[in-house]
Amino acid sequence: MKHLKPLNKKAQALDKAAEEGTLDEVRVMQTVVMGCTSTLDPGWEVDPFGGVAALCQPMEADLYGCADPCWWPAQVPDTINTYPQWDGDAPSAQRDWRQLQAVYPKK
Amino acid sequence: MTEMNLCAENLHEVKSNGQRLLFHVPTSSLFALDATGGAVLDLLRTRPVASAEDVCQDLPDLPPQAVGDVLDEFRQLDLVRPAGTAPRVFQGEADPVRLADMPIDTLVLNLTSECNLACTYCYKEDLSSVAAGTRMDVKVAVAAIDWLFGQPDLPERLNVVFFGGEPLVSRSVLVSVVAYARRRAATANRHIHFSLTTNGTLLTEEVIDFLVANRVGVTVSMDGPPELHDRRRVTVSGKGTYRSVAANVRRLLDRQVLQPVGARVTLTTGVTDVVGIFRHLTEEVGFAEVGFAPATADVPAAFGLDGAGMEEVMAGLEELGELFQEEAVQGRRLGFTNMLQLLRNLRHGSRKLVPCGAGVSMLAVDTDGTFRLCHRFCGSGAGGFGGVDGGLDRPALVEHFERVVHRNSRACAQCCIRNLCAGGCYHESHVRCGDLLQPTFHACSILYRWVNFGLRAYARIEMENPAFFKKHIEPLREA
Repeated sequence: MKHLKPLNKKAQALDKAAEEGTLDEVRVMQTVVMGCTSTLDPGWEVDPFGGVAALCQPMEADLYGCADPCWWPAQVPDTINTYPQWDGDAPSAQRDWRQLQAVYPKK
Repeated sequence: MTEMNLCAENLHEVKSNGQRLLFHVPTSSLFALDATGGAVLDLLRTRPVASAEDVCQDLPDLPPQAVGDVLDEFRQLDLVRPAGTAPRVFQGEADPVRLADMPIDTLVLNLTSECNLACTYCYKEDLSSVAAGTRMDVKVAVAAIDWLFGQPDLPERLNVVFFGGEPLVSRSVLVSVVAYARRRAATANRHIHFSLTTNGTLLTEEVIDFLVANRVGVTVSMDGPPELHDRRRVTVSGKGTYRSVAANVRRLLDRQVLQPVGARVTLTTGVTDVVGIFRHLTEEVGFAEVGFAPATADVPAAFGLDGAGMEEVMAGLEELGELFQEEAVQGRRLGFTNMLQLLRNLRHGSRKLVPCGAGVSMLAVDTDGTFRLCHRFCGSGAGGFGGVDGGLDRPALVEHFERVVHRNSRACAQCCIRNLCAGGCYHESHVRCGDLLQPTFHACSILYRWVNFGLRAYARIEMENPAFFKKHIEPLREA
């Protein structure tokens, strides 16, 4: 094209296609999108309650909240530093609580 | 003689340093318009219906041959069409079945919904209640990897991303999955890459050893210097986390030399000093790249940015974007993620029919093995798409894409950045209006402003240092 100088890759493809008479093929080229909505990451929202806190009923529901986030300093094994395997067999405390065993200090 | 209409919806003009740029909306092509082309375009704007003779008559200084050439070029690009005719329709562009059949190359494993911090702005729906806290069993994680490798058209390069909650809370599963996925990749003769996003509090020496040995790409959530970071990135008891996170990150940066370590900043009310945050995180902490994400939710107003806050953010992003251009014309690359991604899209002329890779090339796996469109939908009330045991629910995914490609928005049809945005983030719409297909209209003006800023920046760099794109932008992967 004489009066339109291509500045990006798609424009170059279009320019070439115009010479070859294959414009429609370039016209329908589309990007296979990967990853997130680009340009501007959409950002993080807060929930309608303004935070993440909630009550802890029943006890099993927030047991792991005490074991790793140390939500409360409750007497449960600390899975972040000392007993990382304690809940290994129990992905859900509500369902798998029978798998949870007592722990003893290492000598 | 044939009369023509200008197809205003197909062109968008931006000026950069006196140069007229023409952004061809249907293809995302970018052209520099010369004086003759500019004169013809200006005339067509004042005369909605005109023939070639009319144009020549109204522009007596231009040779008729040149006017004819310009009109030919405009016609080829659908910038003009015969008066009274409908816009051309291109068949078979968006095929929901084909979209749903694309092989998945990126699997996001939501290792846990638990986190050891309580950042006040966190969006995670499944973190809204500790009672909903769940972890991914190692069996589920292994089944997810098996599913990934079991795809008929296995891509050459595969990515496994660990997300949460805080993924480092689930270290034992993380370590097992990485080892297992490596073995599968070796057998299948594929490249595999791992990455994770972490709050940085659990980066012990042992964890760093693991991340370095496995070349795990790490993104750390940090919001800037202590006075900003500690405002909202706090422990459950409300204590700021800057000191420990910054110390951990410095140790990681000393060791992780093969993978760039990036920071992700969440901009909220009062945390809007984009340039200051960028300088701190790159120059003082040492991150290779920094990406910014404004919190745009309006409830509660305390964290979401209001009009004035968003204006500060946009002004900040543009100020940093100006610094980026200064560096780029000198041949240096500033690690400003948002700008790099925008320039990448403009370089290639990305034309999107769907807004993101969710369900196309990427899927997330929830802690119970359910497939979700992306990690943001983990623990969410929005429906899943099958699971690691029964496989992906393709009919549901096809139906989702049917609705995406056929969503009718008159506002979008007239918008000049429609093919770069394609409607915006599903999850944002889901949270805001309970409908993931509603375009993110609240973000239109900022996106429009940012893309226009990008077009001018692109043109300036292209004119002053075109080699920059080949060296720094073209190798970037879309993310």
